Amino acid sequence: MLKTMSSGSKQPIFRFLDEVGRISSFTGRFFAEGFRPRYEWAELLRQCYVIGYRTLPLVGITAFIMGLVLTVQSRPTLEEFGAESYLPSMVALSVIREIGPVITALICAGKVGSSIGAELGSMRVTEQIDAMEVSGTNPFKFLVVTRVMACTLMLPVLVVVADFISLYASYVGVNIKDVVSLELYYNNVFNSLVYGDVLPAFVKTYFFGFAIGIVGCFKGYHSDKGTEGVGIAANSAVVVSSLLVFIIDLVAVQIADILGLT
Amino acid sequence: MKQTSNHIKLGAFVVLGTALLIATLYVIGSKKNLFNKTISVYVTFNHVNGLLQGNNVRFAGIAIGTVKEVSIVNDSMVVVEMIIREDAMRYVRKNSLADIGSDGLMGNKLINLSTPDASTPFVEAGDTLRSAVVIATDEMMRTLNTTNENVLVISSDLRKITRRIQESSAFWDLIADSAAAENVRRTLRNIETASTAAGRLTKEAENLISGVEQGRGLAGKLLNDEKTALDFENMLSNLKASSDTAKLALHHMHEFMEDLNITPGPLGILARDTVMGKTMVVAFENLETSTTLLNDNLKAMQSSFLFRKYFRKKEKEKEKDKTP
Repeated sequence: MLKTMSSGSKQPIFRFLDEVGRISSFTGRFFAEGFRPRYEWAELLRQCYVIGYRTLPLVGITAFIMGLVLTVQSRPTLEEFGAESYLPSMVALSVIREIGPVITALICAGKVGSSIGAELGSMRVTEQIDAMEVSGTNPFKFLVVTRVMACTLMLPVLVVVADFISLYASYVGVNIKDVVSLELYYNNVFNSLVYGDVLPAFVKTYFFGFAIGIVGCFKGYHSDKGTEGVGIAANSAVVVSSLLVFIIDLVAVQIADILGLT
Repeated sequence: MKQTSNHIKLGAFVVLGTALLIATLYVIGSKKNLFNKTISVYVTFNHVNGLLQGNNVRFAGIAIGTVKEVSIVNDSMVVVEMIIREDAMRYVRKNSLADIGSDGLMGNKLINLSTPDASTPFVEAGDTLRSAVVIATDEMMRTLNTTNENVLVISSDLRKITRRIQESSAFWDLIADSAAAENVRRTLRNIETASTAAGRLTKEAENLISGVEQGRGLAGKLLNDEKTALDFENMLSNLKASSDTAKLALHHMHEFMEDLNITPGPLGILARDTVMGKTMVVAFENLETSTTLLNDNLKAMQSSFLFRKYFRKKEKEKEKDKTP
């Protein structure tokens, strides 16, 4: 009865539950197959290069603009309180704790998630995945595990680099209307940071990467309806992974608060 | 070849990210003295005013450590454990004073260490430093609020006074009036003269008091000489006794007078009856005349031969008594 309801029903709640169930099952399959030989090292490295290195320019530009804009826009408010000297600390805390990881994850969800969804979706509709199964290659291991692993590993690295680019942009922003040496800026930033600011923000980026990878792969791997399905897969991969990024962020903040890391 | 190039780029990217992460963690750790040799020093406060674990410890404005732990010992005592860099030990002394301040008006709390006396030995691990009384921001704000309210009342009163002065022409007329000014000047001169006189009077009073203190004059002796004071006390005591006696005598006299008025005795009659009084005066005059006449008769009788022997005998007895 449930099968009939889930497959035949048009009700959003059943479609949602069906989607959640299938993603959970897909994730379980990732853990079941991902850590068992044979490992696709070459494909993993290729995906790391594509997802990590080739996303860096986009992430870098975004991070630079983000740091600069945040600094320039925060300055008037801090000036009202005579607290311009707190600008580096404020920007550092904002970027490292929240804005850096979330914005980078959203950029990756847009670029990488859609790319993975479209790539796997087109492989599905052109029956390349079926062909791989026939040829004896495990398509899940080759296509899904490598991409999810690459996303999970590369997103934290991208976030760290993006954070530093943002902080440098903030330094530039501070020096637009003021004269602050790099050393003083560096001291202000690091005096305000503690491990509780850096570590939870860093750890949650692994979950962001994993969510982007798993959703992108799931949407592409299970796409149908021909070429139209490829577009739907790419689009829904971005939407769902972006939403998941925010949900994971919310959960991470709550856990960090419970653990006394905020 | 292209694959190798891609791998190199990826490797550089990963190494850069990892290096930045490690550098960040190391710098944060070194700022929090996690990689330096440190010692633990304690300080006890009644109130830590929001001091937290990880807040900075400064000596002469330079960060030399951090707060490791803040723990409540009892209802009026909080112990703060500070970790201080070993290289800063040669500046902090055992008698250093720990004070809780803040980094700017809205900044984090921190502990400021200061050394009032450089003669005491340097601090060692486990030492407990002295603490200064913490002025809580809330308390400061409350006092400031009361001051503000007072200033508001004062400024409001001043405004009313100023408005009244501005609205009143009498004040400005008074200022413009040269006669009034002359009167004020004269009054001031009088005040000055009175003030000089008062000063002189004060000086004289001072001399008088000084003399009394030194035992000069009756008052001085009374205040400073124990014997005089005792005599004076005795005199007062005697005076009191005499006063009591006089009071009693007056009381008796009063009773006597009342009796005299009420009782119809000879004295009462004599006091009130004027005719009787005059009769008595005449009687007394007659009595005096009679007495004089009787004296003359008696003197004549002494010369009589009938009584001459008796008076001679009496004279002889008198002489006999005189001789021892």
